[in-house]
Amino acid sequence: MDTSGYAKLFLTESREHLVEINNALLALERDANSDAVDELFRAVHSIKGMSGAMGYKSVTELSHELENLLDKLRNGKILVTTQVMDTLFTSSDALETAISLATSDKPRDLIVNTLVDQLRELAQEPEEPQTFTAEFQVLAETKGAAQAKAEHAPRHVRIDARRLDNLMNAVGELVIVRDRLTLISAQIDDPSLSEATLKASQLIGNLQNEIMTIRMLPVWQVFDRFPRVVRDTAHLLGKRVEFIIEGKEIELDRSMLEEMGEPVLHLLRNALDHGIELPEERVAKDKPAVARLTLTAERDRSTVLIRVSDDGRGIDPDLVLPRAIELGLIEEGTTTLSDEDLIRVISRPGFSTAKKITDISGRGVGFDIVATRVRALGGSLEVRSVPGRGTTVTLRLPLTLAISRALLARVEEEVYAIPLTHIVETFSLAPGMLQHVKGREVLVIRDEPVPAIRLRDRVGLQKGNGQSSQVVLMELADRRAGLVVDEFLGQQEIVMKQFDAVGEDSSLFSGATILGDGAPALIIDPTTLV
Amino acid sequence: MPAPERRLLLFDIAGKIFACDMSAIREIIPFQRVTRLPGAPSTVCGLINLRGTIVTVLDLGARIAKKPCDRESGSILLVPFGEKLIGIGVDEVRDLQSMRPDELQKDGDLSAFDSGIILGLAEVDGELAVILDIEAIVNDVLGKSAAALEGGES
Repeated sequence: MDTSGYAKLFLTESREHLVEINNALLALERDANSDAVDELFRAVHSIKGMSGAMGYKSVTELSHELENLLDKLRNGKILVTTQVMDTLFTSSDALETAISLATSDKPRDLIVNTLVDQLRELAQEPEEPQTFTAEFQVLAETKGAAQAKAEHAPRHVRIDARRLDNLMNAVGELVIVRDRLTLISAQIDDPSLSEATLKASQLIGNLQNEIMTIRMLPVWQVFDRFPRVVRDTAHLLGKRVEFIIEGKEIELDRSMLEEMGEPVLHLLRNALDHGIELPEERVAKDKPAVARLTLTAERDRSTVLIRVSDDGRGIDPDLVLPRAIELGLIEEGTTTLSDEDLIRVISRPGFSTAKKITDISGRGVGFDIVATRVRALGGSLEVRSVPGRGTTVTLRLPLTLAISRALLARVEEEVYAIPLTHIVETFSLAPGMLQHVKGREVLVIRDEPVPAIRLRDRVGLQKGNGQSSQVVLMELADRRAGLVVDEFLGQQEIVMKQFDAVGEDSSLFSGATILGDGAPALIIDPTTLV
Repeated sequence: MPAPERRLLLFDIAGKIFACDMSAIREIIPFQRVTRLPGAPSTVCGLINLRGTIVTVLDLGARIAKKPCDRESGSILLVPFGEKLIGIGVDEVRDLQSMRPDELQKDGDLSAFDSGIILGLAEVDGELAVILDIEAIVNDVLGKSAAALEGGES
């Protein structure tokens, strides 16, 4: 019997239950009379049943004791106290740890004795427990729930995510071949070939869309772990926060979903740490003691907007203005700051308005990390801040990472792909545009000097017959640079592939892609250039 | 019972015969268009497209004879590297030959090579072939970056 297959299934299912448990705990903490206890009981009961079958001793033991306590809570035999809540939260964490230990490559049992004792102690009550009725209820409920599930369940198939990745890769190749085919067909210019090519091209487009849709996952898969983090962080900081999530059902490609969790978490922590004031400070400012922190997901054409909004103190212009003047972004004596300048200042590495160093979001590292991450994902970000009223940070992310567009550029005989995400504009090199200032080459673009980078030098090519004649203006955070190449070969959809890097300079490339003629081309990583 | 025979793949590098254990080789393909990898040492040819995946190709000629292998008529030996493949460029693939382990000579003048990548010598058609440890060569060239890759991959 392949138990490892069952272990994986157990892990997947229990993760879903753990998320339910965490959410129900948060609901219970807000309102002790809610249905949360029932939900908790069901989720814990499911884990107990599954782990028993798998022989995960510590998981079974812990969920059994939890179940007992929850049963007493459900029947009103004991009350929801802070002590009970804390123990429930700890138990939920322990359950998660026990599950990951039991299902790891080297299965181990978590030592749960102390927690089990604690749970037993809390579950003690003066009267004799009416076990019979309780058991009866449980059975009736689980059966009812199972029935409801079976009736409404859409027909789903569980697929290994790697298979979807492979499929996506294959479609990526197909998209590239389609571009090539279209090109050849245009050259040959035969009506029947053109018609067939167009038809194939449409079908490939449909296929790509279909597979993209299959890979789409709702954002709640990532968002659902945030309420717990927000709660814990707020507790730690002594702040009171109402956390609202909107647009949970919005879908993103798996590749993007996995990557965007961290930057969003950073923004939430930033808001809790720097944005939201302590309750007494809020009351003194005539604000409600409980702050509002909102996380919203919204679809906008082919992008997704993720918004983190708080009603805290906002970004203090008195702290940002001097820094902006110091950086030369605005002229001295200016008293207002545009949103664009605000982003430029706060996304500088090392910028922080925090007066106190905390272990929540650290000092000075935060926003620049978020900005860099988001741009690396091909997204952009916007900040709106009203002093005293709050801050809103909006991330705009592409739906997928799997396929992107790039500009193909040639130097001598070599072709490189430059992702479009960081390209501001492209133009031909005009006479006098390239100048030497203080021994460095700069491009003068509309009277503004921009550092010039010759791709030829960067990839270690000797000067040959090629003529540097075109420039790609790239922008990263607030830095700009002009990349000088021989010739542009047009845009193409590319599928990023990894290769085994050798040598130090390989970091200049984020991966490789396959061109229409089948040859590999390196993808330039703008973050290492600019 | 005699020890099992070893199957050796014979190939040329810079006019000399070399050999490696055939069991280390997954596939042999003719040299194809290689994309140069800027910044990589001379022991790396570059990247090829192998049925849609990008494979890094090492230059065995540059590694052991200080002479790049023949990219016109040479061959690429594909060897497993983790879950992926690594290509090894050689001048010309000659022959496949069976050999008993006792025919392997551990002595002889090997001072011209670093011993870490040599398994021994064998006499083939009156010539002395150097038997290479392909795995050691791959690890030697890619070792550092492979370690970095494993540490950084999520």
